[in-house]
Amino acid sequence: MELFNKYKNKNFTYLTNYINACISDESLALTPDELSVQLSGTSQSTFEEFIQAILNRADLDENNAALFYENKGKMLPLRNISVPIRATIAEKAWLYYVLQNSKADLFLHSGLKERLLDALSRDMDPGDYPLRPEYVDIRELSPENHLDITPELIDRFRTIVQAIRQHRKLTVTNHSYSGQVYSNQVVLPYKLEYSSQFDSFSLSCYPTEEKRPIKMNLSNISSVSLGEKIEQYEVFLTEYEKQLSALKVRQPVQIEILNQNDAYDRCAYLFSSFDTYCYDKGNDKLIMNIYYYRFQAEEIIRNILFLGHYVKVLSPKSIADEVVRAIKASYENYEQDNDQAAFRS
Amino acid sequence: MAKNTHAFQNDIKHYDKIRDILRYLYLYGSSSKEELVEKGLVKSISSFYDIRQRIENYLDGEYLQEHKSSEKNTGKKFRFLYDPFRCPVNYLAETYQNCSFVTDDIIFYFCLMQSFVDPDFPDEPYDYLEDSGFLGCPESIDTDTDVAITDLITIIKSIYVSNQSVLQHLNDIMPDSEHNKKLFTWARIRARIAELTSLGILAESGDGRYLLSSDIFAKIEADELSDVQLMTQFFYNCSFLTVPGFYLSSTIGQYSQAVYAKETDCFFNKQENPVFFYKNHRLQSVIDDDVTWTILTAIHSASVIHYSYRTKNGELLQYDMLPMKVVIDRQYGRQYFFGYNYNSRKFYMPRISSIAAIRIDPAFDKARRYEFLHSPEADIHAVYGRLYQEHIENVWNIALGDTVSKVIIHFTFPEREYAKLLNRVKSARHHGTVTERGNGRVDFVVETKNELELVPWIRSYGPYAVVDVQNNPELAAKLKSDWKEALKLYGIVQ
Repeated sequence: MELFNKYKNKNFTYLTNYINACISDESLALTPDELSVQLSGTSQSTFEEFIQAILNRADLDENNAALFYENKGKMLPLRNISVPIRATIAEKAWLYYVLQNSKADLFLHSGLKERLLDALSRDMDPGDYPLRPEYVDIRELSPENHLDITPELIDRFRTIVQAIRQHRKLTVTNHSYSGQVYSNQVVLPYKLEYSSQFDSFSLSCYPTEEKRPIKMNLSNISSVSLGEKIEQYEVFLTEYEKQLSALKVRQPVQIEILNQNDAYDRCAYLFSSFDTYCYDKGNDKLIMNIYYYRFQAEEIIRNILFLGHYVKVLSPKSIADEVVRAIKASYENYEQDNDQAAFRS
Repeated sequence: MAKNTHAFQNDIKHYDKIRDILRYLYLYGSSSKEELVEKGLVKSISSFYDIRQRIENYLDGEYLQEHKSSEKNTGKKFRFLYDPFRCPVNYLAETYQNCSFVTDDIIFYFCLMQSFVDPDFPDEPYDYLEDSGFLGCPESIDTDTDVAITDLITIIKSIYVSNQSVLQHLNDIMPDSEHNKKLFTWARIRARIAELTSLGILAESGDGRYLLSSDIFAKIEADELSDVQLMTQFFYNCSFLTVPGFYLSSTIGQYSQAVYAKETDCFFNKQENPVFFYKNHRLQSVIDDDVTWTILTAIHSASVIHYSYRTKNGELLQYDMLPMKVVIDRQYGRQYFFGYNYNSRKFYMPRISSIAAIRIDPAFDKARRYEFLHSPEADIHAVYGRLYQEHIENVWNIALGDTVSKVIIHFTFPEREYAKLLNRVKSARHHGTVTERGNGRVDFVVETKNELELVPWIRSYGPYAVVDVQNNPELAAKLKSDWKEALKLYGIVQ
């Protein structure tokens, strides 16, 4: 069956949830108007015949769905049987695939993982799933980019996840890249950042002493313990996101792209996780504006050098100057090498 | 009310209808509606408004942004936003929830699904009726019992008749027996049973016998299901294949609500990422997930695919290919598949995003299927693995080639950044070797089938990386020429 299919239309999900919710709690039922508004969506004009059928107001040449009846102004499920929920083959195949990834152990204790694998195997021979690791080659940037899942890491990971979910503080001991150790820092955790390129986690958090957002790589954390609940969590969240957004630089990096040899396409893909917009300048040239957070500046410069002479930095001057400095010094390396080679010969 | 066949229809039958425009707005944006028509991404200005309305229905309108350009005489431009903090979920995945259906699909589906009753807790379907005598004996099927297709059809029909009788009894709405006959024809029910079996909601237990597929979460507790949900959310946001995981997350949400009465403020599936965010989260590959799924299905069944491929200058070519491997590139975030091309009789690695239409071709010439093999082999998947390995050995990233050469690069890092930069080389070394030489110097050696593929990576280190001129004179000359061209851009050399 195709992945894009009608049974996964959001209206099937809606009706399933609505029927099951009303069967367990009638007070959740909606009026016909409310149901109509929710099913119509943002445009308020979609698939009229369907909504009329749900409300049992179908035209003469259409069928009523007869899923609901109206009782005291509310639409209640007509048949008092819960709609059973079942995963499709695509979902089961995907679940089986991720359960074979060692990172699954970060989330599920071994008993739970075994029960899931057992349930999947009883349902269908996993050999029949079309998604298998041997059908896919993920071209990793390095064999080193593989998170080592140890019991200690699992323990630290689960403690951090629990703190984030329960809105609690953490006491953390970690070391920085340069080797400096920070012992028993109290932090307010925001979220865990995951990099799939490097298979690594970093904790984005707010040390109570530092009062600014910082990031610490999970591999550099040697111990972590749960602390008390964060008071006024919503206030912390808003403040944290405001501080993060303050790190967004107002002036974008503006680059001019020479669209030859697929340069524009490579550029678009490289910057696809940034907030960018482009326009055509004509003459095979495009302008791209890249909005970025201050901590992304280095990555942008790297990407610009990566793309080579198809990309020119127009602004800001500071970034253009840094790029030009790097290009000059790089070119001079080869001039020197030529001189040395000539001297040697 | 007469049926308006020209009314705007929100949902679509084939994802191809929105694939190109979604990809454009996400990756390449921004353009005005006139420019989109000019580029052939929308047929006309009025169909632009249709597509825009669709997108605003499919996903949170906040992500489709309008802005005024600084160019003169241009109207509003459109693009998709991406920001790791403002976009906590993969919003493009939601476009997969909009495949079109007809009302009869809904009627059939829910009559079928509400026919299944848990034998341990048999619910009475109409127990709220004070007087249900007029109904006779309401039909149902035990969830763990299989049933012959003829009985299944009878039960589904009788459930709809009962439902309509109750509706007439309670709300005075007359059923229409003429319509019932048209709705539940043998052919129509069989087609839908076949679809649901192919999907995996129903399972075929024997010849013409069906049952509801098993409940894989039956032995999972509520708090454990919450852990499975978090794991699912994590993996579908960072896996190469998003949509099946996105669907699974919705299924788990529905299950939690149905079985554990989990509270929710929304009956639609609502994506959440309460714990994680993703560095360099590139959403664009989800747009091709259905194509990737077809390729995986073809690999699994050792089938040939027929597809249309869009070339760089917009030409649409037709190919027949035996796919053997899906290949994911981490550098640019692109997806490819490796296989044997019957038209050119060679092995290739085309991009998945350039595929315009794809289908499995069961009728392809059987005599040609394994023509690339010298002698027949029993385990075709082992053959796939071996052929791929032969082609990908010593490939730096994805550029296949014929001859292997050795590349030597000398790095020199300043002391204050040595640890960080050394780590960066190691985390992107592919299959090369890294040797520290002291005094900030690091040597990198790799065998590769295509030296030029390393050029962008070498450039990204700027002045810290120099290609060994004696070992790789052509590569060094290429780098030098590239740097000179870059200097010309800034007017520093002529």
